Amino acid sequence: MPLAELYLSQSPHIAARTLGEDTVIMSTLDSTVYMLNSVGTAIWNAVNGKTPLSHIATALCAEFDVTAQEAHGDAKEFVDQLIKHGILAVSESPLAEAGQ
Amino acid sequence: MSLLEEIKQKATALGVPLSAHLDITWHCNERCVHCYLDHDGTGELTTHEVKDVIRQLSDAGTFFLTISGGEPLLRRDCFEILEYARSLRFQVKLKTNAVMIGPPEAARLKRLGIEQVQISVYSHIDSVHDAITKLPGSLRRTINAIRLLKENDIKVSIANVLMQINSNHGKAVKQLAQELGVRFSIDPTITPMINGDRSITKLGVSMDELRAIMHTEEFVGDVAEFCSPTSDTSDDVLDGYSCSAGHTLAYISPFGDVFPCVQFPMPCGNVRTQPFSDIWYRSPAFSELRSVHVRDLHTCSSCTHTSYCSRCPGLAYMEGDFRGPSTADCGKSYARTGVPSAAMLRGAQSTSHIAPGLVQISGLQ
Repeated sequence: MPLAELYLSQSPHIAARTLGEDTVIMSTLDSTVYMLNSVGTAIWNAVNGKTPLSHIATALCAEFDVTAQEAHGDAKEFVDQLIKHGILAVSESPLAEAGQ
Repeated sequence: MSLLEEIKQKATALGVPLSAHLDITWHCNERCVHCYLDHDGTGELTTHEVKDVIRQLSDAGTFFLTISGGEPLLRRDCFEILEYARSLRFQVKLKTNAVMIGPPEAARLKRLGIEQVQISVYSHIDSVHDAITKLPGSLRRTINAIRLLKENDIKVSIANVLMQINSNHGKAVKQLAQELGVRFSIDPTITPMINGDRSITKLGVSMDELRAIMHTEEFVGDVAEFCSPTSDTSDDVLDGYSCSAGHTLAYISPFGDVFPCVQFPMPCGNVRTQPFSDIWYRSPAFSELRSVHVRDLHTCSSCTHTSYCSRCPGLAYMEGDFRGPSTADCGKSYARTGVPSAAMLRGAQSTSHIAPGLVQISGLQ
């Protein structure tokens, strides 16, 4: 299944806080610190385990005045990094359904 | 600039209390000879009140939360509090003597995602450590707990407070930390009790011992570089602040009192009578503290050591004036460089007004 259609959720192994327009994230597994800018923060806040990445990226188009192609490309690249660092978890089904 | 420094700078600009130190109890199962707390207080915040404070800190933007005491694990709701803090996505550090940590506790701390556990170890010798904590067997139990925490892959940091009784044990404790695979830091400062009683400060290391500590490569790295005095104080330093207390750091006592830092007992408010954000943003005490830049310090702003001094405004406050020097930090800068601080020179000048008189009296005899 392509990444755009997967469901994303925030890892339980993180600490996170919004700071102004940005978000500070620390992995509790290796203490690595990340700072998300306002666009990253918008994606982070939209990640809820129930919305596929493609829908999140589409919503960014209006909010940040970018083309659909740019939004989907940037979001995929950004999310891919967070998955590699264990900040985001992926699932083929929505979180609520997975828990049923 | 590191990412953490960038985050701290942003928090300062936004006025966010990025870090909070919450003592959930002052009760303790050890009786450390140098402890600055009164262990017999009553009326601690209830579980509900502690959780409410933690929620308010989250709302205010606090990210780094230190849960401490006293011995925090003496509270039966300690894990409930830690779990609640983690559910709100705080980066949580636990300060404990660890003697109550067994296999279940270590595993639970790991599951909760506690970022770091800080533990005081005073000596590598049981009799010395236990004489300081006044709890027989405490070093053995603490070391066992450190091993359990490490087995659970939890980051541990040993804090080694040095005083006269253990002043030459630092290297061995550092070696012990290396053997255990944990971090190590030393602190040669004995702070007065939070109620202002200074009697315990006499336990602190002598100037000769402090000088030896400051010139030990294992503690400071490049001794020549660390101990070189420089009077190059930039405008950035003068426009800055002594430390984060009251700027991005708040302390909350088990009774709800809010201070800038655990070492800075300037009353700013109480969360039982006021929301935390009201205290943080509107307390006259916090406002006054935040108005003081390094250039406003009446003695320290003109001191040779300004750019690297560890000046603690809380220790200065306990000496009577948070805009003034802290004797302990003047001592550290002097031990480090051999150059007297501005406050020490001022004191010497005061003495010199007396000295000629004494000489004159001597001459008349």
